[in-house]
Amino acid sequence: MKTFPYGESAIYVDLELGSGPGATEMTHAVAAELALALPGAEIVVGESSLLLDGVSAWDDLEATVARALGPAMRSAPPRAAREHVVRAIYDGPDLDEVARASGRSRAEVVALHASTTYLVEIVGFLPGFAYLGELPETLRVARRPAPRPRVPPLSIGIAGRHTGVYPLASPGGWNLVARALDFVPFDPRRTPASAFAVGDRVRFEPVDAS
Amino acid sequence: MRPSVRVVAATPGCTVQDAGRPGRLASGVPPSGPLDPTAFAAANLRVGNAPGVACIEVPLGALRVVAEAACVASIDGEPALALSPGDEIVVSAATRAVRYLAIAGGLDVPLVLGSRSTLVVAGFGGLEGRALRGGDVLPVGATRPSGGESAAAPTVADPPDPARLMVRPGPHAALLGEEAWERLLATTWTVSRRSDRVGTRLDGAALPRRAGDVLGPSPMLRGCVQITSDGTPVVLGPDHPTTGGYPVLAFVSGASRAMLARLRPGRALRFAL
Repeated sequence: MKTFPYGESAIYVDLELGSGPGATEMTHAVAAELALALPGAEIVVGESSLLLDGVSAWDDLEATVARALGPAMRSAPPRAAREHVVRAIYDGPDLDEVARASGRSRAEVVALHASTTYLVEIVGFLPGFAYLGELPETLRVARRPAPRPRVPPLSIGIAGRHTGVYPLASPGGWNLVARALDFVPFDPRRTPASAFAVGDRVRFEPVDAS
Repeated sequence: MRPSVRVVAATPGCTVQDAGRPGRLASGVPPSGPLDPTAFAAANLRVGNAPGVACIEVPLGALRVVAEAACVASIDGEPALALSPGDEIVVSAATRAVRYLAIAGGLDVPLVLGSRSTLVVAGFGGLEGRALRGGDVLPVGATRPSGGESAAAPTVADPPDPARLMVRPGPHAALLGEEAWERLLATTWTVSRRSDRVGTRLDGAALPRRAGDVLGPSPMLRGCVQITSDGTPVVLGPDHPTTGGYPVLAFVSGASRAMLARLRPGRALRFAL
């Protein structure tokens, strides 16, 4: 693991766990251990990296991380994980390109994307966005070479081993395959405001455009 | 009737900002709050407001506001003005890119997730989650018993030309390589017109990227200097994405972040350790 000062009052921890659902799960386990040890710190979890905000230096960081990653690694505390079914119209502008890149037909791409149950691995980017993993190997395509300046809200994109629903109009470089229906990813008046929480399961259900 | 002020005209991007909503990064919500905390604090102090009370942030001028009731106002901590109903106050374009209009009592828009700050990218906070425009009416809160004009507020420094911003290497500096770091320090950058509260883009050079320097989602903070796919540095602002996949070459220190916010597009800057 490597640690870096991140501004005046934060530490960036690179756990060097590589990429994959296992890495993300271990990162969450480390975050849980750190949260117990540092109840005042704000902790943001990435894929194999995390941010400790409100802490500029801490002698016990390495030992705590080692404990979390050690053989006695406790399983993540039980969460009230929820299951979400998001209805989706598969008419995204990049569907043909994804089909070409994966050597499958459009229908096969849709079937593959919609037949997988995804795990909410990471919450971040924008309010309401979640990195859902992981995509079937066949559908793992690179980001678009240049991001779109504006992706319409509720677009469903794929990139690398993740898929996700853009909660808001924003720039974005993921390949757009579908759009979600009747789904509110984030509502600040709701508790919790985000529809998806880490550990939830998500499935997409294709519906006709009509 | 509650006291209020009415917007007559606003350039794009004028928003209500208070101290922001820190502590919500883990749920994808950025801190928001003023681009230039010093000028924001000076404006509040001058009208007797508590620190962090909601003001109007005016990027690149101009804003025209009419008082609908008697009130006291200050721009950037300049001597306070007592306004009568119908009086107009103008925040004009200035040397500094961003200015703050404080009204004694503060702007009493609804609290969303603990803050009155506008987060335009998510469409919440401030007035209806959007930038201000002509015709908007903003309610003003109650002044403090000790309120009214305060004697002195700190002056807000104009940045030198070129501005000098203090940086430290970021977590992915090694991944990007020494050449990227050296060119970051050696280049005279200019502030791009394509900048906003999410990030300030810098023109001047394309920094080298390396194969394999694309990250999985990684935590981001205000002040991170991300290097985009085409080698452009972007300094993340208060409405930044909470995670990102571009490598972070450097981190701009606190006082320098406020200095950067004061630079109009086209202004020059250099980074220094």
